Amino acid sequence: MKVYESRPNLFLMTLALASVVLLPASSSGALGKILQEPAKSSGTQEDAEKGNGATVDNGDEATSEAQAAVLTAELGELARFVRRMGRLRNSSRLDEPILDLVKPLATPISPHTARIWSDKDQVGVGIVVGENGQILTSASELKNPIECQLADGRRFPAVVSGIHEVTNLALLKIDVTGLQPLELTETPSPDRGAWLVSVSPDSTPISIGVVGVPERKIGTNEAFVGILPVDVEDGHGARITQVTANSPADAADLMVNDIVTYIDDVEIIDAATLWSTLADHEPGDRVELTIKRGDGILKIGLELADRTKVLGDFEDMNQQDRMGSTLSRRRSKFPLAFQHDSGLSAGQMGSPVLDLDGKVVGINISRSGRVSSLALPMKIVLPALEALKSGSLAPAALNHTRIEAITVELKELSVELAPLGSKLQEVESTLAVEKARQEELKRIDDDLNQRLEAVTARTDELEKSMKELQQQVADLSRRTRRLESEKLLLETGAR
Amino acid sequence: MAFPVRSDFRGWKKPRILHLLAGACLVFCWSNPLITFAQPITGEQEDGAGTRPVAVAKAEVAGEAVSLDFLDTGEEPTSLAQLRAMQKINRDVAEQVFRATVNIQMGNSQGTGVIVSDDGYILTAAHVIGKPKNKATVVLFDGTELKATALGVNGRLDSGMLKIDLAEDDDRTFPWLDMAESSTLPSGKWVMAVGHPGGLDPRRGMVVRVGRLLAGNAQLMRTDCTLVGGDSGGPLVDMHAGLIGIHSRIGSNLWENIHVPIDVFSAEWDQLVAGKVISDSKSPYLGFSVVEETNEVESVVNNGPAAKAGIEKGDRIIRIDATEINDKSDIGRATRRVKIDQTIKLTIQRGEKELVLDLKVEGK
Repeated sequence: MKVYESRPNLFLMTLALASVVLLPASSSGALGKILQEPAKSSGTQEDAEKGNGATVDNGDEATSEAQAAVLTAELGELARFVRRMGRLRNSSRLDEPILDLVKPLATPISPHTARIWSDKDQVGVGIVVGENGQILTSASELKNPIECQLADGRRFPAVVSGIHEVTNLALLKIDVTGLQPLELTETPSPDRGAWLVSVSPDSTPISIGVVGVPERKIGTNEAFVGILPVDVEDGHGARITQVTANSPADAADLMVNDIVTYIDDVEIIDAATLWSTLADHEPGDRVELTIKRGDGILKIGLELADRTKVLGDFEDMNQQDRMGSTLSRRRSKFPLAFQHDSGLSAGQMGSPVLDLDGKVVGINISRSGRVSSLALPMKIVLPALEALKSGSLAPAALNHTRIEAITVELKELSVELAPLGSKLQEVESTLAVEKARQEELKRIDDDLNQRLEAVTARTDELEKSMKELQQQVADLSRRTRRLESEKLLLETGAR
Repeated sequence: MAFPVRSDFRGWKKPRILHLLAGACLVFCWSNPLITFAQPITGEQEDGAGTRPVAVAKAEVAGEAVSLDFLDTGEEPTSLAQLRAMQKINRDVAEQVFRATVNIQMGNSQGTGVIVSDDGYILTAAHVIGKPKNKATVVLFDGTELKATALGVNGRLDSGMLKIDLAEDDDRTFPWLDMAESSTLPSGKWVMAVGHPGGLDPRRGMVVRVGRLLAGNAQLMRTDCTLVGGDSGGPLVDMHAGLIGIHSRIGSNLWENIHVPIDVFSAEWDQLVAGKVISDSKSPYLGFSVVEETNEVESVVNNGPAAKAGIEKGDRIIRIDATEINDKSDIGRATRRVKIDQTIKLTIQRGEKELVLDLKVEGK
């Protein structure tokens, strides 16, 4: 983390150049002297050394050579001046000399640490806690497939052999033997102002920082009602001056000018007691408010919300917290943690934290905000590690009850399933037979239809022929009758 | 990009602020000559009542005398013993600074402040208190809540002052910090920052951070003390608990944050006490934001200049006056020279339509 190292600073370079170029007569450097007295100018031995070993010849014939050499020396000095300005400007807490100073503290620890990878991302730093490949790390950033890279560079696929939900610690297992575990012991939690060194497999510590807040419980987010209370001018209570839309207060129909006199059985004397009473609660808690509205007294129950969930527009703070920082997924709910300002990233969690005596005093567990990295003190780590090593927190052990319930349910289902299976088979074969019959009938049906059509066509044809013949018969009969009557007439002469 | 270090008070809605121009302004400040102070602090301090109780030149660590000159010269410690000695000083100084540091609550916002006189004058950042005569609640280190009134502000430099309201016959006194000098500090000097990051958290209390002075000039100082919203107005102190700066803004880099040098307050002390507006901090503001790396309007501040001009969420800003707009940086370029009350022409695309809207720039 050499934050400011060797970053080019154009402004300072310009300034440096300007100071040399604009002030040739001043004592700003040999370049000035050259401009004034080119022939006599000479770089000192020191200048020459600084100028990448260029040597200076003072001989009269070698004036231009000497000038060139001095110029080289001068440029070297200028470059150093610019670098020095850069350093001066950028002397930061994480400068190399300071990291070098604490390096000896990290040296005995870093061989016992590992890098935890998930694909191409480093998702944590691990600590070797068992010779057969047990690695302790932070849980919330883990994603399969997981690999552990030991300090010696060897890389192994890892499985999660346990997760301690309360502390967010995870135990990984890699297939290797003969590792040197780091012996973790109970150490006092560091005080405010104590310097801390965070260690990874690198020989240089990841970062150093200072305890900003000693160990405390890190609760969930602030329990939120959605009212803005002020002190009541006369008497006790907190008067509501605003109700936030979509807040629990809004849902419970609290109104502006309502006076809160109790939360459960805690008397609310003023706005401050209202805040401090709420501070003892967590989101999700149900509370009953006693409200004075006009002359009446109401009791209103409501469920406290998570402030960040109600106010989606809280981005301003979120945005600042994320500026220049990669935060951890889990940032709250730790039984005890101390807060420091080492500015670690989410992928550096799980790393051991040393005090200035080189003792491991904690394990980094969450980059919870721009100014806050959280570390678990050893008194929290050790019992968690013990539970993890016992195997009781292995995913299978952890989910034991649920797995058992599912097994029972599966058995019941298979019992139900068995008769259904044969019945299904029976129905299937019957269905097949019936389907065949249906096909057959359909075929017959088609055939009959065709025959019916043919017969119908024939009938139509015959009917037509019949009609034609009948017509012919009728015509011929008529002709016959006419001829017969004509013949009769002619024979009888009956006219 | 830098943001005023302030946090919403208890989550109460504060209109989203468009920081386009604030960012531009900051870049401008940074491109001013960064004068590196050459002279180390002399060690001779003005003798005020109860001023510098932590006098450190040497410390004893495990029976061994350790030089602590590096704390003030801006050098690195050269031994672990020195670092351990500094650790002890960090602890003691934090204790002392905490007692004089207050949380400031005004309307929907919170910041930090530091008491600099036993009768309750408080220094803070201008953007925490807004303008003279604003009423605030201050919460002392022990949780005591008191009323206070804003006095003078210098919005341009971000310095401000409050006074705890005391009745005539109230002769209470408060723990306070001595104002040191900021014009003679060497770069690299070891410093500590105290504040209420994220606002007052009774379960957590104040937070201390340690860092070094990176650079400074008469108007601002940069350190690598980590800061975030809510820290604004809080004290930056040297290793003698002498007040050398007030937290003002954060950088996009975690390790570069900005403080108002304490000499700014000393120089304008009388005007601050008199409740003057020494210079206005209002900067031009447009009242909308765009989706990262696009020209699509992401949000429009209610009743802001953009809203009044008729700009809607989802509009695409094609041109501002004659400048083509593709993303936020183009907007910054196009509006760098606009003044408050100036009207600019925005060509926008809404669905199939192209509209030209007049936007009157406001101050904020």
